Amino acid sequence: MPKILLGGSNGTDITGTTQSVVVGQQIVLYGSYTLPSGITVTSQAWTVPGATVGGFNTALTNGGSTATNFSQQSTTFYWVVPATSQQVTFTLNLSNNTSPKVTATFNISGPTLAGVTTQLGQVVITSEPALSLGNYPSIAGIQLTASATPPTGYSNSFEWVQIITNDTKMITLNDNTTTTCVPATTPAGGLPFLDNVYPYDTNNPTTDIPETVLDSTQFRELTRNFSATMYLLWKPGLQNSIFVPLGTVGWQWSGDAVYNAGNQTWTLNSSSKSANAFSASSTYPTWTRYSDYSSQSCH
Amino acid sequence: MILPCLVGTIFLHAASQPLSLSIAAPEQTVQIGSELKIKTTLTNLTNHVITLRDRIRACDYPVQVRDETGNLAPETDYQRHLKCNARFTESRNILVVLKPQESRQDEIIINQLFDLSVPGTYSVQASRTIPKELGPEPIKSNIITISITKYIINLT
Repeated sequence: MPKILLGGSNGTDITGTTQSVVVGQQIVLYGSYTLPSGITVTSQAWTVPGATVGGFNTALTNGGSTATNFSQQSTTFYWVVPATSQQVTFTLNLSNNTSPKVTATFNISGPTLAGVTTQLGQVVITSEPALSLGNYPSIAGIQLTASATPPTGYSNSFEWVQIITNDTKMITLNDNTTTTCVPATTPAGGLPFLDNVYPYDTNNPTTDIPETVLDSTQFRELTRNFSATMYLLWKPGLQNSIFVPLGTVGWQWSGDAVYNAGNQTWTLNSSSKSANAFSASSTYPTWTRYSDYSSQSCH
Repeated sequence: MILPCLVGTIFLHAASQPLSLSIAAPEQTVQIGSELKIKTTLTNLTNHVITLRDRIRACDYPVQVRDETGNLAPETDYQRHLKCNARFTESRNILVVLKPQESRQDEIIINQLFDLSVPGTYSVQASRTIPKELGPEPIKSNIITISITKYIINLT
């Protein structure tokens, strides 16, 4: 009969036992066996219940979870959702048409009661002048505060990843023509994109103050429509562990700034802002491009 | 007569550093291709609140990576194309408020900035750009050493 080793080919035999692990922990399983003379392996497979990923790719132009591979003698994966009594099976299919299989059981702990509260500032014209949600340095445009109860023996380690789902500016130039601009991305392709870098922040709470400078020498009206999804992720402090998603907050704002040449001031014609409730989810953020907002594409 | 001047000079130098920056690597030896992170700790050394923005991380915290011979490590496309002097008025804009003696941590993924595909020992130093009203020069960190290897041998 084969054995299930935890930790690789030199790992611990956990066949028939129950193990306690945590979401985000790297799980390396190895199916160990000795074949009788004349018998060969036709295939081998792991059956792993629950939500798993093979990893979390954080490259700036290729972000998201990676697939698991459960058809090799060794498998490396991560559970992303807590669950109890998850029975993992290793099956050998042999040339003599037998299929010996062995199991091990896992209890997967993870943070509970995860949530994010948000606090929104006002859409304003700042003294710069800029059209801004919030007003640096005194008021954040949005403040997101994460909370969760970590599993026993662990502490909270959060990170944030922000995906921009819309950021469009409609600009009326001083020659009365209009143009629509979006941030340039790498590679080109537009929305959605990773906001700047991975991760957005590792501090809790985190904030954002999106703002656009108003340049009356170039244009006389600017409307900005912005929406983003902020992902909250959690990681156990174990070697080789990865961040796992806890959920998302969608938020959006808009503002229409108009220049009054008579008194040489910008005024806020209309505005809106809102943040959705935290939505618990085990779905990883995905992205294929990012923008550092150093240039924009207008048409 | 000399001593007060000397003390005054030392005090002035200390007072000119409103912030300190230290860096540390969670893993000092990493395999080629693995994510290489450093953690930054920015501390307010003054007796008043300091407010900053965190925008483009690689511009807020310029990093120098040198190989064993002192040569600068090659930059990635991301680092090469950064425009830190542009007006990043629409990018990530995190409000950082540091009370006296308060610290804020961040992390920098070095592989995002530099091509470390050649095994060896690298020295890493970061700095923090600060508003002009806080001082004329960026705050420099300590220098740490990181090894990039082809293989990681686990002896446990």
